[in-house]
Amino acid sequence: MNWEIWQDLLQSPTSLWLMLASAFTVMACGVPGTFLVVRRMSLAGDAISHSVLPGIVIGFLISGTLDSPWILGGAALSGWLTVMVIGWLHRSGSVREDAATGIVFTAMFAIGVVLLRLYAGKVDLDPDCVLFGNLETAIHGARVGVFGLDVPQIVLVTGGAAVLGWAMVGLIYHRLLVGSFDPSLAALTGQAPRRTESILLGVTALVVVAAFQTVGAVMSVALLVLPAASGLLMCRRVPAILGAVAGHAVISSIGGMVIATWAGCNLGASVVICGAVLLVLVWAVSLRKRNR
Amino acid sequence: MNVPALETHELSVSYRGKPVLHGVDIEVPPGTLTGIMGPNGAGKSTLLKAVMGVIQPDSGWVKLLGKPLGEVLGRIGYVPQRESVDWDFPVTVFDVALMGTYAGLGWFGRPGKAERARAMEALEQTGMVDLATRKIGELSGGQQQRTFIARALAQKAEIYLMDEPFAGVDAATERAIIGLLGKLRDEGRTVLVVHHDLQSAPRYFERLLLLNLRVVAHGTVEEVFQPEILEKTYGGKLTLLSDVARRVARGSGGGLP
Amino acid sequence: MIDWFGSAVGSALTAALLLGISCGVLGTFVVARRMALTGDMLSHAVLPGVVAGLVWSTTRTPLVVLGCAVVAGWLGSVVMQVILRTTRLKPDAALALVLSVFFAVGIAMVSRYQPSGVQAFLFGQVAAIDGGDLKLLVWVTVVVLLLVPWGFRVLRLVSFDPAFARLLGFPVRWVEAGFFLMLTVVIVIAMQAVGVVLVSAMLVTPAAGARFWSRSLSGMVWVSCVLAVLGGMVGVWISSVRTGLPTGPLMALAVTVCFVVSAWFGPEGGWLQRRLRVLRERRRIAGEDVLKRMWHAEQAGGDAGGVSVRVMKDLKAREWVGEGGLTEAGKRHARGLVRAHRLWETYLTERAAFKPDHVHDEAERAEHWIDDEQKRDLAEKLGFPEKDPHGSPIPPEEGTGGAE
Repeated sequence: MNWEIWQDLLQSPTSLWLMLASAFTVMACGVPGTFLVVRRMSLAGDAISHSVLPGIVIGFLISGTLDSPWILGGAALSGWLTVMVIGWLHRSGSVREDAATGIVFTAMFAIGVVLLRLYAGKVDLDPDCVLFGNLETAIHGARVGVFGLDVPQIVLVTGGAAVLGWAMVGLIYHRLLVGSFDPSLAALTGQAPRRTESILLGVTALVVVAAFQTVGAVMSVALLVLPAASGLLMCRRVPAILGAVAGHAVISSIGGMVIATWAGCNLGASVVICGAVLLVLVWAVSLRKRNR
Repeated sequence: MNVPALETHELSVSYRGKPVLHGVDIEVPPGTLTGIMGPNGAGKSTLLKAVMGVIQPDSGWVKLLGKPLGEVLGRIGYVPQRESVDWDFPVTVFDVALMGTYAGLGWFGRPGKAERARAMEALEQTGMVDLATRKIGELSGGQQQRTFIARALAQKAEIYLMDEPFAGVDAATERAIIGLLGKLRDEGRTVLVVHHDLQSAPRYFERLLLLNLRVVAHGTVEEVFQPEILEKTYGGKLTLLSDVARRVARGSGGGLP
Repeated sequence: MIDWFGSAVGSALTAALLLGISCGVLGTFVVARRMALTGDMLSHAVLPGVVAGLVWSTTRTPLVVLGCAVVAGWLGSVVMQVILRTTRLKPDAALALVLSVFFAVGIAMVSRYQPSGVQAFLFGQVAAIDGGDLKLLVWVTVVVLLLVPWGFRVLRLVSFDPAFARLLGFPVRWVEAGFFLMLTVVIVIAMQAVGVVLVSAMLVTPAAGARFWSRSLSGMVWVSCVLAVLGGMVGVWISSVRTGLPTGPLMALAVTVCFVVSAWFGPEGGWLQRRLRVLRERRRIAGEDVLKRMWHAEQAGGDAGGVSVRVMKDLKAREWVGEGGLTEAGKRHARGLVRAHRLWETYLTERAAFKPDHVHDEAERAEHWIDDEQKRDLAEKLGFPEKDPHGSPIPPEEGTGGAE
């Protein structure tokens, strides 16, 4: 093992902040992701992660900065709208669900990219960032003083997203659980499964906005699904899966940092790859358990 | 006094322009145990779903305990069809039973001691206490069904809707379930059960609802369990009725061809 | 001609044309087989292969890039199969996993090796499609066009009933593998035009729109080609007029507009057509109701009451009403309606166990939808009844001597 990597990592505050930001991102995405996976709605997560783009750009055009509630509102709205349009197309009978998903999210993404280029002068959002994020640059962006500590803004944003995701679980866990497992029972006992689903989709859109800067649109899908999938292979109850998600977040952010430093590649991609390696390990263990 | 537990009026349901139920008019007296029977595709499950508000009917209305569904939420319990449950879902037997107590929790509530005790008691009644920490996917068919019956018991509802609770269960479980249903009835609750076995029906239920796209007969077992009525129920489909109903539904812009 | 291909816009338009054709054809099968999201998965999964190809072949030989991409796409499908077979994860999660993890591997490779030309694959730039690619694209289009009509039947059978196809002795595996290969090749080339994310738009959107124009698979293939070509060329044209706008998203948006237009105006279940049909039927029913009222009034010797001018005009246009009241055709049609009404009431009470006081409204709705054959069928099933449950006579069938 090359010890210098570790020394460099631990001595540079930047890499600590980077790890913190990516751990927060994975934690934030993992929570709504868990419910999406058990509901068999992973592809709604895929659709949302692409279609928040026009919302972000429009929010930016209205407010003029990347850190305003307009961006969050716009993103949540466009993500939620996408899922609704997909459902509507599918229910109206002539377009199947998979095709409807493919049509709507690509259209939204295309609108986002066109808007981005149309107002290239006004929107300070790098098109590259849309596809693979730019945590390495974002970490050097604006800083905010918190308790005398100079914290990069991106760490606060991703931290906020993580708090949001976990707050959702803490507050309405039971509605989420019963709404996912048995929507009919939830409806019959007045537990508003449709509103619960809307909340879940809205929170997904919000955490994806935070993940957008860290890993970009496509890889945020990985962050939604990977931790949940490895949790699902290991655990028998949802709370345990959520615990596994947190563990996955910590390990994959540290491992991702190591991979990125060692191989000299994009940090977001490295975090995802480390997460995939974790999943493979869990999978191998679960296979052995089953064969025994 | 004596409000019917369940009342439907001219209830018609179609799926993508294909009629499944047509003009269903029933009144189920409270405190009774009713079997809903009919051939495959007769609309038995659809009737339950329409009553529960899962499917929107094309026309007609449903009243439970004399009120529309929205006003009696929480007083209705249900046991889903086995096939409609995601058995890979990461929940344990106890989690499922506990879900029966969620009705009164509100958005931010969490089940406390009382709820846990209720769930445990329900598991005791169905003989599932020893398996409470098992994942539902690891159970046998009978155990899976007992779990959901326990959830229904934990609900302490006034009306129970059960979709084929006897499908794929062992004889002991079947006896246990029918015993529990009788007990529920004796406590004054109303139980409606979708059932497909003609042999056992007259022993299990006191009332029968015979369905085949429309209500063929509805009444006590003595009134209804007659060869000619059963013949009418199971003697083929009314193709003309469904043909014409489909055309009417399509023409008025209901579904798609 | 040489100038045409030489000019940037010319070669971009040619690329859009060829891409439209191959995407249109393959997309129809992708949509019909519910593989829309599998296509999306494939377009992300090929990325590591594409990057590897670009790193390996610095001169960007299309075949090398393509070969690596096909390997990566195949690997993606295999991983997905393994996940589905050995874990409890559902297809949606498996798809999302393969899609995003393969993409991440691709991005890691991009950031590590920074190969030239990778931008075109990520974001799409039709201008980046050069002579070599265009040549390849021509070949692919020709192969698609030649193979698909030839293998049309086989592919259709394999698509809709693989078990039956296997029974008939078709080499299902080979057909599947061939389809997969062609799909991957088209995806890799389309990626350069529209970018990794929007390949799905070119594959899925035109094919889904084609469904509103034709019911048959061969019809859908044609329409889907037309829509894809139209969308692609419009996208290229707009981006050439308004420079600075990327071609890929414009092409994707143009095909989406094509889809929306199809969904509104398409003759096969489009919104307008459905709406018009409902209005037409409503008008017919209103007319028939008035006709029946007039007939009853004439039978009883009373007055039919007021009739709106519009309905009257309608009835006259159908030649049911003439100068002196109901025409012979009008009377015949009215008798047919009454016959349908009363037969239906009888059927509902006798066969469907309806209460007699419930059947009138049912029959009032149903009478407009029972055709002659069904009336005959009803009468036969009911033993040619002469009275309905309320005791009113059922008019006999016309033309059997029973007419007045």
